[in-house]
Amino acid sequence: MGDKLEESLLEGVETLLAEKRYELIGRILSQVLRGEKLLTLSDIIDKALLNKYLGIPVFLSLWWALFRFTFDISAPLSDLIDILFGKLGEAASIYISNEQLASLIADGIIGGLGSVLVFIPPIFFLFFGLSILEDSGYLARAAFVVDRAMYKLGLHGKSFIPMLIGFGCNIPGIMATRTIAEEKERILTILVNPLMSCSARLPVYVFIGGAVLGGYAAAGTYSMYILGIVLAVLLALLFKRVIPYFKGKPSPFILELPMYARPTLRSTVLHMWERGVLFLKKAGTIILLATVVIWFLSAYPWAAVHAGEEPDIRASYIGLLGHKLEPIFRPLGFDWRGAVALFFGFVAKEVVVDTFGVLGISSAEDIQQIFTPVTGLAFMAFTLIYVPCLATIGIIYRETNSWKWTIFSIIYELVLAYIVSLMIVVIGGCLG
Amino acid sequence: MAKVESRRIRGVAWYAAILGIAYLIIGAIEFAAGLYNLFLPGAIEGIFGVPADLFGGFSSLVIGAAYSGVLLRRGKQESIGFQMVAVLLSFVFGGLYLLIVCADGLGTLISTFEGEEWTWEWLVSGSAGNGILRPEIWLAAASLPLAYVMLIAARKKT
Repeated sequence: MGDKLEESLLEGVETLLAEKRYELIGRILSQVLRGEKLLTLSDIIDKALLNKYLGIPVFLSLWWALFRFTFDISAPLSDLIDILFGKLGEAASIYISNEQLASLIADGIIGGLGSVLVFIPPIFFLFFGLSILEDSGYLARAAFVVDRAMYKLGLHGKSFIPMLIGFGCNIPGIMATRTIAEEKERILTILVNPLMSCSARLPVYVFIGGAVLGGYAAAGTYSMYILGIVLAVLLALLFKRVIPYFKGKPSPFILELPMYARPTLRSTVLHMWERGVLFLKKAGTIILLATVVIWFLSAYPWAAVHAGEEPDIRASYIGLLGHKLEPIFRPLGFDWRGAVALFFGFVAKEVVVDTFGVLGISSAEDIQQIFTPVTGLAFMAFTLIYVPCLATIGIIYRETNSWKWTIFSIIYELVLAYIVSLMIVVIGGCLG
Repeated sequence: MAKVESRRIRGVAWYAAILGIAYLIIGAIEFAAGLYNLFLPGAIEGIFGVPADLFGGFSSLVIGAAYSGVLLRRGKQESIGFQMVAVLLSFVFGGLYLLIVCADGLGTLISTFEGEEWTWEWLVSGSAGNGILRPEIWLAAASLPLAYVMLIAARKKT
């Protein structure tokens, strides 16, 4: 009955009920209130923030401010952690007499894990900024202004809220798609959600961008987030046009905007901690385990790697793997080290930086030997787009309940990552 | 009394418009120089003390547009909304650049612990472009009178 009614009305029953409800509220208010219509402070601010011309530029500006806050202000704190881990590594090398154990502690755990833990400050700063935007009531407005643009493109506005959540972590972002009633719109949102740049990708941007983009590092990071949004919208549009399952008009988006509120330091810090602590837990579990595995693969066979005065990682298991993968990534300008970093990044994106750390690539000079500004940017884009982490793939399967969509998601992201990175390298090369 | 009030409102609107124009000019310079640098990296450091900053310039243009909206909006309430958002954004960016300068200072201090020589360079050059000389910091300070007017308007509303 509901379906028939919906079909005949073209728009959803939900929308019709909402419209009628607000009509009734309006009628009652006009009967019981007299004089000029009073606007609340939230209404007045919304006149500008939800303005059809100014809404999206304000959103982009605030997003830019968030990234400069994340990137530039946290930098000295990251330097402090880096110095601390450097000293710890030196101490481990001096005081541990067993050569293999010293290598595991200094090069593996301290070098690898340390290179990831350096990014605690930017991740916490990002969550602090996001919490302020969320607690003030602005994030709901951001979804509203973007919905207007998305609806014009034929996409469901409700998709943007899971996408915004995806900036923190893709897993809750994908789980948040449960709020989308229409199955095909939900699956479409799940498919494009991994393109939202989660906090795990941030260490890669800071690590590579900080070294090769110089003064443009913050702009490089910001452009990755914008690239993620643009690709998500374009891909969703493409899927809607090309895949018959997704065809059809999107259902309208009803969002009741909360009143603006002044965020309190306590709640903002609490929200930041709740989200940031997940990164710390990940560092102590998955990343630590990955570090030990990568160290083992980079240090063994021990005799072959340590035949000369300096360890030759190219002779290690990881070196062999890297050289097998290198031809695939050569057109993108990534050498075997970039290739293995991406390979292990499949476990969790932070492991990309972890792998570089274990391979002894930690300073800006080391990174500049592997990447140029253009190939560095291409590497950042590849990290953004290619397969999400293992846990996200698991959630995609659980939420779509289909291997078909899960495998499709992996394949399209790999192909897209390759194409976009190649375009960056080609266009960047042409611009010199 | 009504005449005084009307003159005060007009004064506030003109002050906002002047700030808007200042933001638009600075934003346009930053944006254009940043765009130029995108194709020829490092070609322009800044023009008339305004740094080359593509996205920073875009943000200043947005603030300028919000301030200018005060004159373009017909309704009084709408104008107040635009002014509030413009003041808020100018404080966000002014505060942000000031924090970046402080972070640069902290970075220099950490470097001195590592054996480098202490300099005051971070005050006038660094991540924010030209440190405390960044025009947005001073424009945020110039927005203070408007912030006061907005605060009173907001208090009346709540």
